[in-house]
Amino acid sequence: MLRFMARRLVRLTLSLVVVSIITFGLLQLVPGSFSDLADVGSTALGDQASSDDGGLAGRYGDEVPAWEQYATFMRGLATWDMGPTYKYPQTTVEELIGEAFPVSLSLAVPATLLTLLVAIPIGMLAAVKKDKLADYGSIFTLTTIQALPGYLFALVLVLIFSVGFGWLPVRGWNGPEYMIIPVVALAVQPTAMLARYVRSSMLEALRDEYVVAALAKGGTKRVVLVRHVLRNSLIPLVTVVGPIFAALATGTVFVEVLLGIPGLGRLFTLAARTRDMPLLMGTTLFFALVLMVMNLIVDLAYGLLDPRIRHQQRADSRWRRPKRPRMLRGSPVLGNNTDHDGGGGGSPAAGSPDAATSMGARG
Amino acid sequence: MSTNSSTTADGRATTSHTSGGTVLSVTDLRVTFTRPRTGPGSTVVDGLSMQIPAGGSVAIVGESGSGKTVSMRAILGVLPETAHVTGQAVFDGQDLIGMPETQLRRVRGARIGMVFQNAMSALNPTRTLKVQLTEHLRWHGTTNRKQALNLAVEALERVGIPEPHRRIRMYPFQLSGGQRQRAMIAMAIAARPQLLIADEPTTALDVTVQRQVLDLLKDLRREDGLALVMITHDLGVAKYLCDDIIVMRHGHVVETAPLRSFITTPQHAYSQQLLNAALDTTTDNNGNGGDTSTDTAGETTATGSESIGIQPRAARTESAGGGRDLVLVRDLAKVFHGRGGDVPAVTDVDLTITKGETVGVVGESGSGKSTLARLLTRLIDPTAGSVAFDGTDVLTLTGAPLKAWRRRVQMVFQNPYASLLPHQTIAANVAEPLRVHKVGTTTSRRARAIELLDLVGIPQERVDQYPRQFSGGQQQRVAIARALALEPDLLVCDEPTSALDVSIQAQVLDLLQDLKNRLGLSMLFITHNLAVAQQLCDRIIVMANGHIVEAAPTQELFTHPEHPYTQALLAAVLPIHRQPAPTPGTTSRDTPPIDTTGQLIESSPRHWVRTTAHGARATRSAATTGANST
Repeated sequence: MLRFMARRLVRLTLSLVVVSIITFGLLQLVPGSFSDLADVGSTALGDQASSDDGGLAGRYGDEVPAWEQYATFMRGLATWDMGPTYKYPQTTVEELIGEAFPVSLSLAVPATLLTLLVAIPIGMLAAVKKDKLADYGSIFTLTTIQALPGYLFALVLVLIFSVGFGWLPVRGWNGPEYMIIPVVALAVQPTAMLARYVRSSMLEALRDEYVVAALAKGGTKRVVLVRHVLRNSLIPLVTVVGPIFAALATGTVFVEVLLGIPGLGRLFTLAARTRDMPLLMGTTLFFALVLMVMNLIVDLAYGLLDPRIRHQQRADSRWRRPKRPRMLRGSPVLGNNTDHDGGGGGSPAAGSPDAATSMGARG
Repeated sequence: MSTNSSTTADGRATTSHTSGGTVLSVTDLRVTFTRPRTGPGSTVVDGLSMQIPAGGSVAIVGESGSGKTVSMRAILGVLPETAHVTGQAVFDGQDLIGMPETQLRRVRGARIGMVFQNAMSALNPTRTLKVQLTEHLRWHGTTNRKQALNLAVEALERVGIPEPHRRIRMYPFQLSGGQRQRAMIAMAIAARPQLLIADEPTTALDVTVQRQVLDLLKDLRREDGLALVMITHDLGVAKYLCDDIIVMRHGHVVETAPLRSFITTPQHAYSQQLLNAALDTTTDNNGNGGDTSTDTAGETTATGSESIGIQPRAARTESAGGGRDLVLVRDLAKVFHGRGGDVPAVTDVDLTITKGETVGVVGESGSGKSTLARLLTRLIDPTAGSVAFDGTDVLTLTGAPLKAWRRRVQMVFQNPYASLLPHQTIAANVAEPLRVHKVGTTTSRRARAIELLDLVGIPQERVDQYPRQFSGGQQQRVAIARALALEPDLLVCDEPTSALDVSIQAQVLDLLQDLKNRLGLSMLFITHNLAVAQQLCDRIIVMANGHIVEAAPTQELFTHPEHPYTQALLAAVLPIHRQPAPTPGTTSRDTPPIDTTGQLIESSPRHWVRTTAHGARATRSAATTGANST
């Protein structure tokens, strides 16, 4: 287990480095830099950045070569001190992420829970009522929903509940009532996807022989469904729920921008728009980190839920295959085969049963 | 019983004259499946009637799709909702068909237990045995949680699982195949039912384990007075365990008879056909099972195919005699580096196949047979050893020579459907290897495919159909045709008949036999079925735990098996036409480990056997060696 974790952490770090190189490289390649873009917009307001650059020049001046900027940033990342951003020189990247992440998280957790709460019963119902109206109806609805973009639902919800009934605020971030519309809007698409997944996973489990066996033992349909089918069909679900949560936690750009929520998604778009290297690198790597940690948690949870996984020692993963020895002739493993000659009744070719056989056949 | 019968209007008529000792009485059972979208359904069971006396046992025999399983599941009402069941099934004075679900549930599990074919799938892989063996006891309100655990442990002990207290906390996949099957039987008997419906309970098991499980069921019958319905396709199993037999075909009952008279004088033509297709090993079982005149060693060419009428042996020895070595394997070993350590799958294997010879490899699951086949075909690379094919070192081949060599060795797999491309017609399937090796043009390849399919008995009108439109036996013929497309020198058959029904198995074996004689093919034939091996092979190699334990010409092996493991294998065979060998007196129901530490020595010409740890082999073989060496 420890070895597994250690290996996974090494892998995670390597992946992060690769992501950082790709992101930084792309940032170098796109036309326009922060200062170019800032010059265009800031002439009217006067140059704020120059008055107090918060040590920015010390880190990434224009004359500093790119690789050095990268090295500086990565050193900062390693010590969780990524320094100030171009756009907001008074605040640091980690501060911004630290402010935005809880916001995103407070959307992601309820949205994920909502997804699970709605998707599992619908999927179950569709599976149990296979080929009936409830199945066709729910699957048709879900497929339609899945095909529509999520922010559309945000707009529809705003129209109905904020503009129409006036029950909920239109946009902003100022208390629990502001969470309702974004959470629902975020949950719609994953719910549709997950429900279809639950349905197929459940149908597969229903076909298993142990379901018949449990029924033949005298269990009620309900008990068998819950004790045997549901549990087993939910195990593969973990693999899907993990990434869903990670995606929600790292912000969904459209919904956040649309509803004026100061989450990670908004931060990310801002950084990309202004070519704010430290902020962009910081958010991207943070996204990557969250995703990979979620995947790690999924793998661990899988082992907890499925005893078959738990009980095979995860000694080797795909990370490193044990090397196969080259063909060895007469290896020590097979040392005893030389002794065959002794028992073979003196035939010189009696090294093996079949050598003798072929001799016999010829003769 | 009688009080019950008077309350049930439907069941009375039947019960009145059967209550003397009938556990289950089925009258005119019919099952129809309706398809949700495509109109009228198909009738799967058409008028099954049967009586099971208290403590009696009835075998339901038939090939796949004959309605055996469906009829028994219909009685318990555990079929999908698309099934429409009519008829009567009077159990304990009550008609189970149409009984309300709540009432029926009190019968399931508590009064009628069910055992399934594959314990791996019939036990929930993610729940412990404890959960699965006790839950129904509580559902039925038999006992409380604690008492249920005791009953479950008792049941496990009853079926011969060592250390039941510890094992009950395990998951199904942590047990061996035989133990798993026993655990499932324990699950069925934990609630002490009067009737046990066993659906092919031993089909997925090795012969020696099969024998143990059947003996267990026999004990349960004798000691607990359990009535038994045994669904099987194996007449040997039916004969070993049951008093009466019902033969089903296409949902109809073909014949109902006491087993004894059925074996000697089957009434129906289909029963006759089934009996004929069933292969028996012909041997004197090392003397201890001897009941017939086969004890003189060299008597007849051990046919085993008496009913199928093949007399190929003479021709075969001739061809083998003139042959030269095609395959020369020396010291072959394969170690799998799996999770939790290295697993030696094949150790120290020497093997020679001469041109035109058929070598059988028999052994139980996990003995390394399939690994050997895959090593020979170089689907996997060995850890050590050498494989020479017609003088070339196979293991050093790469690139074009390797590809050229692959043309000369072809394989037939166990599951024909899985080994054919489902989205291509069978003609395209057969032409595929030709296409891969760029032989001929599209038209000539097709012509060749049609020719080959004709050779294996698939008519030309059907060559443009898809694999799923064929029966299992036909699919296997197609697979054989494909393997022959490149005119290989060696055909490696990995359990080619195990997934097939007996009559179809006979067809495929006939075909292979015929091809062998006509084309002079060399074959490596892997099987766990000794009777099949006996019918087809010139020489047989017995494998256990990755080692060769015995190798001898077929007839010699069956008449004078020397290694204890070979003897156990032969003793576990359940013959139809003769008495089975008596159960070896085992104290533990677990298979003793097979000793493979000894060395292979030649006890008589061409007969090799591995010595056991004590340096001595079975008593009679020791005498043979003594005579030989002096």
